[in-house]
Amino acid sequence: MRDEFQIWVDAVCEQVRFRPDRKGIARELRVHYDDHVKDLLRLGRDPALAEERALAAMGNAQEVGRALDKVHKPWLGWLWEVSRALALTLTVLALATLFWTVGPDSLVERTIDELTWEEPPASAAKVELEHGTLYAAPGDVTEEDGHTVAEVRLWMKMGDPLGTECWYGIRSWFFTWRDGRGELSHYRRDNASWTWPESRYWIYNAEAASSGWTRFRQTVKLVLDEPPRWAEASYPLSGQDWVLRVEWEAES
Amino acid sequence: MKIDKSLMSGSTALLILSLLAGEEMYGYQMIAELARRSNHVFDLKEGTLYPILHGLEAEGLVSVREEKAERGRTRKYYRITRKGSRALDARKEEWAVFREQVDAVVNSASPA
Amino acid sequence: MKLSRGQKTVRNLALCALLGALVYTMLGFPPYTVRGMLDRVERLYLLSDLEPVLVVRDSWRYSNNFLPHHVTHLIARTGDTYVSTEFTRHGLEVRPEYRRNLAMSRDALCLGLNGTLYVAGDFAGAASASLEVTAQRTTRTYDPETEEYELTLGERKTFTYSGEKDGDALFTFDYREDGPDNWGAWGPYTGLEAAAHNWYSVYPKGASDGVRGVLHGDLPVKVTLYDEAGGVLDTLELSIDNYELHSYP
Repeated sequence: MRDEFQIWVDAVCEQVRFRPDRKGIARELRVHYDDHVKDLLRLGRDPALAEERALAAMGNAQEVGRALDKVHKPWLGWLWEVSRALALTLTVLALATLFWTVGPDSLVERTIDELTWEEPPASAAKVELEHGTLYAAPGDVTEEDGHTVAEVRLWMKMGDPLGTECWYGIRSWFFTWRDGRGELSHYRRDNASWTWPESRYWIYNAEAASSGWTRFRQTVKLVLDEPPRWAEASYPLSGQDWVLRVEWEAES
Repeated sequence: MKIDKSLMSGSTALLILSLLAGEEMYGYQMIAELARRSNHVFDLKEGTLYPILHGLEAEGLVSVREEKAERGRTRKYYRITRKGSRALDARKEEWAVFREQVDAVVNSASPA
Repeated sequence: MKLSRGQKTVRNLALCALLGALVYTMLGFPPYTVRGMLDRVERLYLLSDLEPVLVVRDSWRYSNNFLPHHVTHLIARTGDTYVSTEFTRHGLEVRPEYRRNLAMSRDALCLGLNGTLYVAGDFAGAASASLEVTAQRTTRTYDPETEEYELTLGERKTFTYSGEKDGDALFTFDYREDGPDNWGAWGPYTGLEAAAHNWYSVYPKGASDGVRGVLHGDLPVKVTLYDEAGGVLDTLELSIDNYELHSYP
């Protein structure tokens, strides 16, 4: 015997444009129909008649289908499906990024560095740049291997956060440093002799550097022949004309 | 008095929400209960019940949960939400006012 | 309390926005556009108002990776300062200076990429240009007896190319030659690419017999600018690292 109800419910579902909901609707309607049939059987009706009566009570398939379609709006349905898929994808992506790419410890480290950043001393030299403020102050002076090593501490306060490649913090590589006697040169391969002349200054990155999200610190060590009186950092290669001057003793 | 043209303008929706105000019910149960309470005056066409129920759910006036019934089938139980209760109270008041007005008109006609 | 479908959709979309922001932050705010990349360079190197002069894109895939790498090479300018750098994207991650360090110079800058030399500068008045690059056979060998590196210099060759003007700030010079023996492996023929690769050698300490490393060398580059009439307008003295000249990535 043909399943008349199945034919009816298929006709209803055909009117529902949002397909993913059709299965749930068909199931709910079938449960309802079965409940009614069971009820009629309980009251002693003939099975065939019970089924016929229960089916008739369900109403006109097209009308019911159209009414359901008005409620199961396709665009809302699809938006919901998309939002689910997107939320799931992004959750997986976030976890993958956290554990494979970045590592939660580096995020924690940066946040700690950001929160433990100390303001430079009030006497520090400073220059306001477009993307932040750069500060410099004199540091310790020590003797190493017959040279004098003078530390200059740098701080950077940026307006917007910087990405994770900034573990160097401040890119001061292209700065020009001068002390009382003249320009100091950084590592530079000498073309003619293919040697690396002894460097006059280098950027010291061990514990003295820190990189937060918007706050950075760095120490530059200048290798000098005599104890320093003052040193200046500038950036002529960039076309900017600022100068940051640090002094170890007041100019007489 | 303005009649709201949303789903709730249908008195059928009002009846259904009233049914659910007291307890949670499933589809066929609502039909049977409605017929019983109204002494079969309201015999809701079963097919028209579900569009209204789904519409009420989409508007947040009822919520639905699924439970496993016998023979591995699942049955959906509907219950009224807080938003639905508030809407029901508002409509009940509207309906009371409406009925009073109808009474007033009908009863003011001078008996023949 | 169960939410309706509409409410669930709103909640999901809000969650998506939050997760998206979180992923973007964890990845270090990767720049995907040229403007984003230049902003990143500005903030890293304390520059302002960088404008692009050259954008070249390329991609490659390592055999053990599922996704390819996409590189964007940039030359940018602020005032008279020129900067060349690259950003490499792998999936969603973007790394600056993945294979080449940033170069910065005043007045003009030279970049070698995949068979073409790009020279950026203020070329508004120049109608044409020629470029000379000189390679010299250079060998550094470790002498275990003196425990020092010895330097030997050999033959020299100058290659000349004429340039194509590309806007007011760029000249391009193609130096790639098609030939049966581009690498000079079988004979004396050497194009610039072959010279850049074969003439600069280092035999380091501890290397087994014949293992040769390619030495970094700064090749002098002279660019001559001509006006409409063919008269010399200006000459620029630049240099280029030989690694930029041969096509091994």
